[in-house]
Amino acid sequence: MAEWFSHVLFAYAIFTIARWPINWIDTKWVAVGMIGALLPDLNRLELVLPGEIITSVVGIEFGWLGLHTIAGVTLLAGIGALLFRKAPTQQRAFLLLLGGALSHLILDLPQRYADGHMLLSTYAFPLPVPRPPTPGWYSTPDRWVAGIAVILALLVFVLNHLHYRSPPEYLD
Amino acid sequence: MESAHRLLALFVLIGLVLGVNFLYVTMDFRSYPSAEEIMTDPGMVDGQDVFIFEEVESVTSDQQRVTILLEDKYFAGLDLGGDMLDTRDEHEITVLVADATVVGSIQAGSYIQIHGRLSHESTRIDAHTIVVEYQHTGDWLYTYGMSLFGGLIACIFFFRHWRITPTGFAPRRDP
Repeated sequence: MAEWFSHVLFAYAIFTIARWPINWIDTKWVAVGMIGALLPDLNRLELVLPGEIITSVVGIEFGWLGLHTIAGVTLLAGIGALLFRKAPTQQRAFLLLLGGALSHLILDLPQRYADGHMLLSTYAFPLPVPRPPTPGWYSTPDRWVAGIAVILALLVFVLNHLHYRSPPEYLD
Repeated sequence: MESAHRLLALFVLIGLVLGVNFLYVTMDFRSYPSAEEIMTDPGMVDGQDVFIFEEVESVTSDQQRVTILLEDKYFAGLDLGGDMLDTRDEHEITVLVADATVVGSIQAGSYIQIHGRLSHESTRIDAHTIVVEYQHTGDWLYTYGMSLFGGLIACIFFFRHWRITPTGFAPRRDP
C-alpha cells in the first residue's frame, strides 16, 4: 500500500477536480474525502490490539484485515457519516468518506506482487472477483510515489485556483 | 435523525464492522497454501506453489539462500513490559533465490514476498520471484513517518473546516 501522505494528496486532487462539475463539493467536503482516504488503513489497529488477543477473549478467530475491503470501508463510511450533525450533511459525508476510501483501495491495487497478480479479490470482499495481473508499478516504501502525489496536488491546486478565478460562461 | 436512532445505528454499524472482520478471516482468497496449512501438514503441500510475505531471518553471503520463519502466535497474557504474543509453533524454510534482480538487496530483517514451489516437507522454497518490500529499517521509518505526516495533514485540513459540537461535526461557518 502507499503511505498516507500519498493517499491524502491523491484524495485532495480527486475531490478538488470533482468540485468543478459538482457544485456542492466545496473545500470542507474535499477535507472529508481526504479523511476517507485513511479509512482502509484502520486495519493497522492490529499494531495496537492484535487480532490474536480478541481471538483469545471471544474464542472465535478475529483479524482486522476486513477493514481494508469494500465491505469494511462502506460500514466505516457509515459510522463516520453518523458523526456529522444533520441528515443532509450525513449523506454527503457518507459519499465523500466512501469515495476517499475507495480511492485508497484503487491506489493500492497496482503494487508489485511476487506472483504477478493484484489483491483485488481481497479488497473487493464480499464481491467474488478474480485477481487480475498487476502492472507492479510500486512497492510501499518507493519514495517517488509521494513525489508524484505532490506534483499532482500542486497542479490541481493551481488549476483549481484558475478555475475559480475564471468561472464558466453560464455563471456570467 | 434523532440522537437515540443515531446511537442505535452507530452500535449496529460497529457490530457489523466487527462481524465483517470475523467473517473475513474465514475466507480463503488465495489459491496457495496458507502458513497454517504448511505448518499443520508440511508434506501434504510439497510440490505446490506458495505466495508468502515474511521477514528474513538470515541470508547467506552470496545471497543465494534466505531463511524465513513461519510462526503461529497466540495471546499469552497481559504483559506491560513485553510482548503479549507467544509462539505456539514455528516452521523454518530455506528459500533458494533464483531471481537475480533481488541479489544484493536482501538482508536480515528485510520484509519480502516470495512466490515459489515448496519441497522437502515444506522446508524449502525454490523461488520463482521475490519482491523486496522493505529492505531495511529506513524503509519502515519512511513509511510510518510519511503516514503520520499524511494523517496530520488530513486532520489539520479537516478541522480547519469542521468543528466538534455536542451533536456531531458541523461546518465552522454554520451558526
